[in-house]
Amino acid sequence: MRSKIYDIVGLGFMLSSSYFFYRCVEFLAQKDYVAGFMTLIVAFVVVRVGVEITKLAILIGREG
Amino acid sequence: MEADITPSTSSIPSIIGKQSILPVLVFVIGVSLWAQLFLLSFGAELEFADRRVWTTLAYALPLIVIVAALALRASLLLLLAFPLSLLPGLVLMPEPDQAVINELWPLLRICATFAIYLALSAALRSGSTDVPITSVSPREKAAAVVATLDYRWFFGTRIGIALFSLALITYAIFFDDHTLALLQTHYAGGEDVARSFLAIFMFFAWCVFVYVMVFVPSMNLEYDQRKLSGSLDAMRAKISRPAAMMRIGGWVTVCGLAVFVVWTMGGQ
Repeated sequence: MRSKIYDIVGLGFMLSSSYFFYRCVEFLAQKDYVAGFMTLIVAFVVVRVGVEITKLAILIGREG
Repeated sequence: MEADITPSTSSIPSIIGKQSILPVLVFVIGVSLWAQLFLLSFGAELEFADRRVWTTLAYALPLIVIVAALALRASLLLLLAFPLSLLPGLVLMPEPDQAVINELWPLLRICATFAIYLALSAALRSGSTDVPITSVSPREKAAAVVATLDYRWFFGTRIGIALFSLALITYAIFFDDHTLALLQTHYAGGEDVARSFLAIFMFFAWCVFVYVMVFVPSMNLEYDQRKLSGSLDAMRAKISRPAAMMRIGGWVTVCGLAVFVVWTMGGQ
């Protein structure tokens, strides 16, 4: 159960990075390149966190 | 559905053999990608009497990154920093040059070259892994069988999210009224070029996204699990439970403070 929760949270992080991609497009369309780059970096960081959490989910699933 | 996870030692010499030619191929394909994107603009920039330093540096940056990445054999530089180093040059490129690479065939050629570059760089990385070749215990083998059964969920969810992100980006660039209105306001007269530029930029970003989210975790699943398990065991031995809770509490407090500060500064 705990593994499933971690997995869903991790996938939620990955999915929520799509929002930052959308905002990145929005900033770039406004010629605000700095904000666009920063938003893109945030998107990658969010994805990375999601990946790490899903790693934990798999590990917990195996140990449990 | 049981996977054969016994380490194969017969493939090791072939991987080592590939190491001499693969870096050269990665370099050639990387430089080819750079040339397709920036060669004309970079050449034109060098011919100007009054050169724009930042633009010239932005064009040259990918070459520096790829040389450094190959010299250091750093997979992070090859697979993440190099694609990202292409983006400043794309942003600073004059609109007529953007229009040239936004034609259908050059665009397809660039995408194909980029895909080949990612595949070769990933192959280089897999050949240079530092995973120790050890025998697999029965307990690990049993655990791996469980993981094999999870693969459908593992790949299905990630591919689903990747496709959803691609669909969202495509919608945002080509169909979203809000974005189209912004393009008309800020790129008056050059909306089509701006849209194509956004499409290339976001395609690059999406490729990196898929690489980080799907490719790396899938390729390193077993190794990551062992590494994470080892790290957690070492941490458990080193840090007591109250100390761990204090550390978690400290980080939660720091995060809360950061959110509060951004919020009070008017962030959304």
